[in-house]
Amino acid sequence: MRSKRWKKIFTFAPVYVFLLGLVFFSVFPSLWMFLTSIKPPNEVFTTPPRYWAENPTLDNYNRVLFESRIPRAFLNSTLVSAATGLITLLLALPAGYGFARYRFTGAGLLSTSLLFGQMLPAVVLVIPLYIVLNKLDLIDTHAGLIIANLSVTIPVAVMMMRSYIESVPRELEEAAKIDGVGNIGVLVRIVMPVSIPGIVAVSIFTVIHAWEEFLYALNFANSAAVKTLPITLAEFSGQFKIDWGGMMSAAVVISLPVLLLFLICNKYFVKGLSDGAVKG
Amino acid sequence: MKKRFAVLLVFALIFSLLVACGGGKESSNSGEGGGTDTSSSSTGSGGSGTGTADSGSSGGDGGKTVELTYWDGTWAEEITPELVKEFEAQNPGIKIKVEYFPWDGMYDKFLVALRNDNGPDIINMAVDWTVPFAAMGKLQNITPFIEQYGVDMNDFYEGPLKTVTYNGQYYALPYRSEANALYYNKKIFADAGLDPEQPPATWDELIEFSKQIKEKTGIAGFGQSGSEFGNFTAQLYYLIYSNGGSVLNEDYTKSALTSPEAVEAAQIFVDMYRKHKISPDSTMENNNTVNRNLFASEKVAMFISGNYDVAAVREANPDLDFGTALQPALAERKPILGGWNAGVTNTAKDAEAAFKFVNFLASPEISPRYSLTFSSRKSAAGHEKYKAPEFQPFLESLNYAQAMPPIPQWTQIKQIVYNHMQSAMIGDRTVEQALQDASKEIDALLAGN
Amino acid sequence: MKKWSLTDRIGYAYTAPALAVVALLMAFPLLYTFMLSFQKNDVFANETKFVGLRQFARLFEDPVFVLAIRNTVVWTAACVAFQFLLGLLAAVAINQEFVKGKTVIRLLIMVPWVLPGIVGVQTWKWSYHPDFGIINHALKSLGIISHDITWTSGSSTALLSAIIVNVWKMFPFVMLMLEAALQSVPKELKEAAYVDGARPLRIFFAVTMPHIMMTSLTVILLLTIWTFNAFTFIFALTAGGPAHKSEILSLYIYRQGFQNLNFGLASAASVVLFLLTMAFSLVYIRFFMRKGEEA
Repeated sequence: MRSKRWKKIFTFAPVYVFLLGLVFFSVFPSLWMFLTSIKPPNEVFTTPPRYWAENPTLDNYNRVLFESRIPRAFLNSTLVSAATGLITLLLALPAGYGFARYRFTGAGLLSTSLLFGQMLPAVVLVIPLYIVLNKLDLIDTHAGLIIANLSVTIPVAVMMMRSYIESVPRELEEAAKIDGVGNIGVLVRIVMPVSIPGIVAVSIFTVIHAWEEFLYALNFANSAAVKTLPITLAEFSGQFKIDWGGMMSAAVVISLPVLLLFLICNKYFVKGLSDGAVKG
Repeated sequence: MKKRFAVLLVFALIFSLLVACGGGKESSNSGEGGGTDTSSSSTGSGGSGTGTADSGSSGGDGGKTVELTYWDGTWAEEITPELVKEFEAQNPGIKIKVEYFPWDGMYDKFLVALRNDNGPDIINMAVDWTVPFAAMGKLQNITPFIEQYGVDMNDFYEGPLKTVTYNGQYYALPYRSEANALYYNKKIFADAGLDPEQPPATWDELIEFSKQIKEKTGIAGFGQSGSEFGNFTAQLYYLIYSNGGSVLNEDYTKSALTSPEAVEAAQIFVDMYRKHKISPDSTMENNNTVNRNLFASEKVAMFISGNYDVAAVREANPDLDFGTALQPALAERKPILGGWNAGVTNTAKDAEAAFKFVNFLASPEISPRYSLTFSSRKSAAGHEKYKAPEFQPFLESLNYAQAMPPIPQWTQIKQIVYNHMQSAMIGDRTVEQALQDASKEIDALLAGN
Repeated sequence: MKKWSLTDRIGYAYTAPALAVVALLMAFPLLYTFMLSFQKNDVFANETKFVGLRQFARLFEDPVFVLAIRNTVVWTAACVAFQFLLGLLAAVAINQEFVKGKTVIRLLIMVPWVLPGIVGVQTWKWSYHPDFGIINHALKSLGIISHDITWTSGSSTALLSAIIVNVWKMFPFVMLMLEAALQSVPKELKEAAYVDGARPLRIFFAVTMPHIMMTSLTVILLLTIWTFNAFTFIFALTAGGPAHKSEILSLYIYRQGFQNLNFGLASAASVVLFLLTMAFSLVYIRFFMRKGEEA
């Protein structure tokens, strides 16, 4: 009896300690960010740095939420991210399935070539992409930003979807086909539900990428009607003065929605996970 | 089933949003006056967005209104809308739409846009950007307009004028000019046994005072900028020019950095960090903004900056007891001229209307209000804003201020010097070697390789 | 004329839309960059000359370029290794059945990945600062160090400081991907092995690993490609300094292009970067991923 308890503690404790350590490592910058966002300007730069604010204030949030361009940028970001996510999924799901289940000629080369666009740094792609979007008259439009994002998200989504679908046993699909279900039906009714965790993961990745994307948004958007959150955040740093309080508050405002999104998706994620385990 | 319905709903929502919001271009309003009418006849975007009645403009415009875009910096957001309103009131046929951009990435973004002929009609530029942009053919030659409108070019300081001239023609008007001066902490001076009313007058004194401060109080004497290339070269060049040297030769064809005066000055700069250790340990990652923060939190006794930092220091530390003074001299005093210009781009819809706005911004009445530092106009030197005692050294500095060579490759040259001198700062190379390597590269660049 | 089988046609049908979009978007940029690498562009005289391979020759004559390649390899190897290891350990840890509060733990660990890039990097940069940052302050309070470390500007610590931030940002992604894969491992197999007397570590290697092999390999490939091309971390934290000690290829390219306005040279360097990445990917896919598939 005794030894079993000790055994449990020896397995439980290190795992928990490790996870706790990871949580701290992950969270402390955001914690610091939040603590700074409630400090008045004269408490932001102190040496040695002070953890707690002596006179905490919500002034920064007031400014960020009501007196800045953040609200409009929020709308822009939501639009661009959601559209990017949706379109990516619509295209990547079938493509991932196609690559996973069908050995067609040139599949290997084609799937690798999808990645070619990723092999050049964004700073290099900015200029030619600008030229392309300019020709299509899409500079300073939401559509332009969405399209620029797609060039990055689609290849990754296809790769990820493919690897997920490959890990799903084929028996289900084969059984369905024998039952006379058509190809598209198999995809929609059999494969999709089972790959929910993969779909959720891919969607989260895509939306987060679009949400935080900076370089393309910086160069392809000019007016406040199109600029997304990361650009607007950068506007808190002037030429000589960085409004740290404002910037950190804006950062909190920008980060919360994606965290919330993840929290919501987490339910599907977990549900999908447990389903998979039961089916085994 | 429910899930599918939800997906369809989301789909429909997104789709309708996409259609509704369409392109950002059409749906943006003009000016900051909120609700002003526009019938934008020359924007070419279909003029459908604002959808309001005619402008009823008076004056000799023939009833046509022109809408121009102006790209400004985010720090001007508090003043620009006001000025635009005044301008539009004085010029009924012209509407100005302003977009603000943060300093971070501003140059890159302007560069990409201009190269693709996709920039604004009027553009705000740091002094170093005007000549390169002009050389690329992206700025309008406004000399004819200057003559036509009788702009008094003699009212501008000489330095700023150099920054808007290319091939003998004017491509922008300066409105803001600045030169740096010394900030020093009176309390730390007193604690270290120095006279708080006697800031260092020569660079040797600055080093001596710093050493004394370090000894008596343990605080670093001077804030050097080891990181940002603009800040770094600003400090370095001050020393070089004030020592009688220069970065380039007379006709801007070769580097002059290997001259004894330049090498000596650069050695002084490096020694401050490596030998005398009067700058903080964190120097290599500090730019001048960090130096200001260090100064405000009393971790550094002196630093050099523009007058725009006075307010920032006060805000960060209202109790700080500090003074300002001219930059300490070496053989002489040659502060570097900084500032901003406003220009008309080559793609401007209506160059004349755009010029009117530029002229407005650079006028003796408006430029002191618009400029965060000082106006480029001599006649504005007595302005209300500039009366505060702390500002006097900065104002005086303007008289000595040295404009940098107005060549397109100037920013690249700064980069080259910075890259090589950094290795001298961390001890990988001697100062002579670093300057020699830099000179080779500069010479190659200027020769067109 | 080769006859297209039914498999071919269906396969193409499914994959065509995605491929088409990417092809349309990437064709011009790739071509453009390749073309530019053979040219010399004088921005101010507005002239472009065809110079063949001269730009490439210049690249390899530049010691900074060679240094950048070395830095990039070190940077990528270190980042990917630690991102994957940490993510794997995290996924295994959180996957243990006895762990309570998985949702909360997972959510908190995901924060670095979810936080917009520039925000996280700025916060870290500030935390690293010897005078204002909490890292040195905390380390000193705990007695771990006695003298301030200049993280982002020290010759030996600059690259390391950036590696830490990259690992911090991406390991949650690895954890996310691997956790899903771990869940697909049939419990019965693990239990059977346990009953047979296998120790947990052995179970992990023999039973679990094969099941997560494909996902792991895919993740590693993606991480490598991303890290190879990463720009923001180094740019914002160290700007490649001090004196190029932490300069990686993407930064070198940026400097040549946007600061020196030498777009021909920048494109040539990009082509080199592209070829390196492509070579690695092809080798990797052929040898590792095919093997993984067969497993």
